Amino acid sequence: MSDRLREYLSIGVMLALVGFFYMQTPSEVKHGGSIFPNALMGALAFLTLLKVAVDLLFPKSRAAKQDVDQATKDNRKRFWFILASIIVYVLLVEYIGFYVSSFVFFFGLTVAVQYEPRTPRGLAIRLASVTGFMLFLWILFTKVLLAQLPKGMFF
Amino acid sequence: MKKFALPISFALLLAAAAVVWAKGPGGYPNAPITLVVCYSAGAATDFQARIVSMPAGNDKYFGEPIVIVNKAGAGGMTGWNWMVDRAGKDGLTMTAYNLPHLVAQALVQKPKFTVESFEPLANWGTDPAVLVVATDSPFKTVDDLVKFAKANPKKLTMNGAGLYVGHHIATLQLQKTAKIEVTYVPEQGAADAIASLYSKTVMAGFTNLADAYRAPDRLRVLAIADLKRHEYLPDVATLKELGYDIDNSSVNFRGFALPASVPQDIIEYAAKTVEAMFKDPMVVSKMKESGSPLNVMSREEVKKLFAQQKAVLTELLLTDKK
Amino acid sequence: MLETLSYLSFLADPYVLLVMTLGTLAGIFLGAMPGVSPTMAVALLVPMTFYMDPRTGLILLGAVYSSAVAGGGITAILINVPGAPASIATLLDGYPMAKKGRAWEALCITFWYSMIGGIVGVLAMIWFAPILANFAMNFGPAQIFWVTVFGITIISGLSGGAVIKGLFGGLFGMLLSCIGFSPMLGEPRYVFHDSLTSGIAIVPVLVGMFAIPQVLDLAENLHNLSGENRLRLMEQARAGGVRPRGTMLKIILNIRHWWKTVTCSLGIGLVKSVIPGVGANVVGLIAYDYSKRLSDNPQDWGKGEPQGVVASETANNCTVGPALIPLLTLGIPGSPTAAALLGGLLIHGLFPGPELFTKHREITLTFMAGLLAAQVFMFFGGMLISRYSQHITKVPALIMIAAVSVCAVVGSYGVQNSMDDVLIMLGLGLMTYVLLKLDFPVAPMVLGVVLGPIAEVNFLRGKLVAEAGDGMFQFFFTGGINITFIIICVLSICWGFFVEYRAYKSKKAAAEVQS
Repeated sequence: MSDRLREYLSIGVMLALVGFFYMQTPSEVKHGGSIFPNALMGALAFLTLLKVAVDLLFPKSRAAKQDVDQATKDNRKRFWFILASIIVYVLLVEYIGFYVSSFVFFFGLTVAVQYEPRTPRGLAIRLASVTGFMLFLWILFTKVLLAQLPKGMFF
Repeated sequence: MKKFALPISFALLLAAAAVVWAKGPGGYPNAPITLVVCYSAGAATDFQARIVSMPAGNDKYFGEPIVIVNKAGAGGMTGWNWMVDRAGKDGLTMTAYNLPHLVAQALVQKPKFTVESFEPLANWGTDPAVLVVATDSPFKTVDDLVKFAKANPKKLTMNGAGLYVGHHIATLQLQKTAKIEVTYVPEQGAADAIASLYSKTVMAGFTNLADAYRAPDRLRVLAIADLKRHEYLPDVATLKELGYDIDNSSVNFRGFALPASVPQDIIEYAAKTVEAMFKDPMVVSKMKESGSPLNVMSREEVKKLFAQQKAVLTELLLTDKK
Repeated sequence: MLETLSYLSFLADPYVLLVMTLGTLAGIFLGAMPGVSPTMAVALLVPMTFYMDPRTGLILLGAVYSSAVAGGGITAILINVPGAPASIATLLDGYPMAKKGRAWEALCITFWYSMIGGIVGVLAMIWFAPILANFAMNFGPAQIFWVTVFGITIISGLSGGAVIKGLFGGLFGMLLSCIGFSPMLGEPRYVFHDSLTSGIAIVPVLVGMFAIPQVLDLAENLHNLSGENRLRLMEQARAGGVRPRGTMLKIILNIRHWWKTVTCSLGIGLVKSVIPGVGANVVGLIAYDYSKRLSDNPQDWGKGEPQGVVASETANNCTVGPALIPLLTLGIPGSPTAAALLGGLLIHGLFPGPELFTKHREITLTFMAGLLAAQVFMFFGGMLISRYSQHITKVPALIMIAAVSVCAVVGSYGVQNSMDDVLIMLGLGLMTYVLLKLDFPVAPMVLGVVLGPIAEVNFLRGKLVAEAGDGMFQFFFTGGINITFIIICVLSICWGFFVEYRAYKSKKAAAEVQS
């Protein structure tokens, strides 16, 4: 991604964010509840315009950064997998319970994407350490702080 | 025989434990109880709720601790909305109600709850609104204040701990009976409101009796918005005595409530337990020491109070708006 | 003063000593947990002081309060997630230091300068309480409004050369804070998803905006941090020594070079901490920004400059003492934590005000002496915990990714027992990740979320009062404090643009020389 392209994309994102909030503006808010957000949106729109002006006056370089190496490319698949599993994990916490889903997420993810070869000994150590970590969280939150973490179906 | 001694005593212990645990209907409560306080940590409601829920872990009461979770915002609506939306039907999630806030908000604003969404359990405290000014204020009496407001419509600024809380309702009542117009400044909490009085930002205000009682050298209490004088401030006259027809509908009541969707037997059991807990000697002494007025009321009395407040406030707020 | 110090004799009581040690360790630990703020730590412990005599109880609360503020720096340095809003500025340079294998040094700085800041703050509280209390009472809605605007203008210094993007982020953060109920009437605004009904709380913002991008960043570079690469990195780190000898001495002696940063942060910490409502949350960032402007090497800040950590930690612990002044003298808690501490006083029948210094003089002075001692305890407790917690940097990246994700969920859920907060955390995290890719700085956005409600509420309060009185212009634009802050704001913004322009010029000149 070249510097110039990144700046253009930034302008796009700024416009999108302001526009989105502008469309969400409630129709009727009394007691001055709309003064502050409207003023903010005005300021944000001004900053966006300013950004456009600055980028036209002082354009950034168009040179693209050097190509990424093979290892980084290979890692991309892992990255998307990790991102997807975090999202799935967060969405499932409510339904299958915090401790179960966290355990599965932690153990499953780390085993699935690890670079090192999977040895039985390594897996056993991993299993033990994940269990220990969950136990620590359980003692701290459920026993000491008495927090009610999502229960879900199992535990 | 000897080799059975251990298993037998163990079984007895388990049975005893089971009896203790199964005090409430269906073994309720079988886990720590969460109390949702709709104000921030350290606010008056939060502080008092922490005191009165202290003995909950005692076997005499619930046998399970009460854990306080703060969901502050919008004068309490954030938390109560959440209660209606998300709290379970197992009775393990209670909330602390604040009257008249809860009733007034249910009537005027459009929250997800109505007055009927909650089943009160018991009341622990009452805190009447008192009319105060800073000690160096030119207003010496309520009449001074009213005279100024009559001469300068909307120029008199008065504050309180938010919109549609007891303090605001007292202000509305004062405006109505004295036929004056003032500018009401809703603050984020009682402490902020008092700070505005000190810094001369606002001229007068209604505040909690407990707060005024604790600051005798800095605040001058002009009157109290209740039916009778209060033991903490016996020299302060009620507004009624001074000739302003204001009743006790702005008095701040605090207590525990459960969502109406919780089974009836759990509500009844919890109501009895909570009421007994509020009367615990430790609670009584700590409330007194901290200058927080205690007034324990049973479920029946609070239910009556809810209905009464709803009638009074409907008249005051909904006719006022037109 | 001497009288106060004479109350340090309570330290001779082994029971008090034990309570204080445990309180300090618990405070650091709770402060380091993202999701448990110093306010919650104090509120949790207030009921425990029921069973203690007032002196011990208050000493415990003071110890927990001070150490929780410092403890937030540990996670900021080690995993780039601040334990509490007060430590945001710590991670700007603390985490880069840790990445370079200087985690131990950063932790030493955190606790040493937290102690210095804390002691100065407490001494100021003891000496200047009445003056500072009067000063605080000069701040009405208009003044507080301008102080928050001033907070926004420091963004230019936090944006690393992208002033417009930084300001956009800051104001956008303020707009985010508008989501939920309007502060005056409580009408819903911008609730475009069900989970936003309760608005956006500060903890999910902190966790989401810092932890999620951090996790994704590790995931992106996983190949550089795993397998053989990891072994090589470990090797490098070991060569430098994990806990090099003499680090502490070096840091203490370095005050020769850092005195400007330290004095600047102390000054800002003292002034800002008594202003009601603004509090410790942003003081670290302001001190960071101003120290950076004053320093000789502003270009190194944000890349692992130890002074960044010095500024942030000196200032945020410096607020601990003065923030209690309005509470002790007038009964007005200047910060949420002070409000929680008020409970600790009331429970023992101690009502704030002059009586505290006459009738209950002994208890009050013991509390102040205890607060002073707590700073020293905090230092030793912090060093003890750092010894073990610094090993976090050795945890493999993959494990870190999973563990931080799990902690992010539990941290954002635990504050209000609410799944909504977890969803908000994730949503904001993903958004921030994209914005970071486009070079939008994060710190201004968080600052905006913290300052937004303060600015809005004070503006609307001020508007009501002004319209009943002399009018808006009179109210907001006259008076010494108002004008002073307006001038500082304008200068601050101009300075930011000037610096950016200068940087652009020199870059262009360099390019021309090359070609």
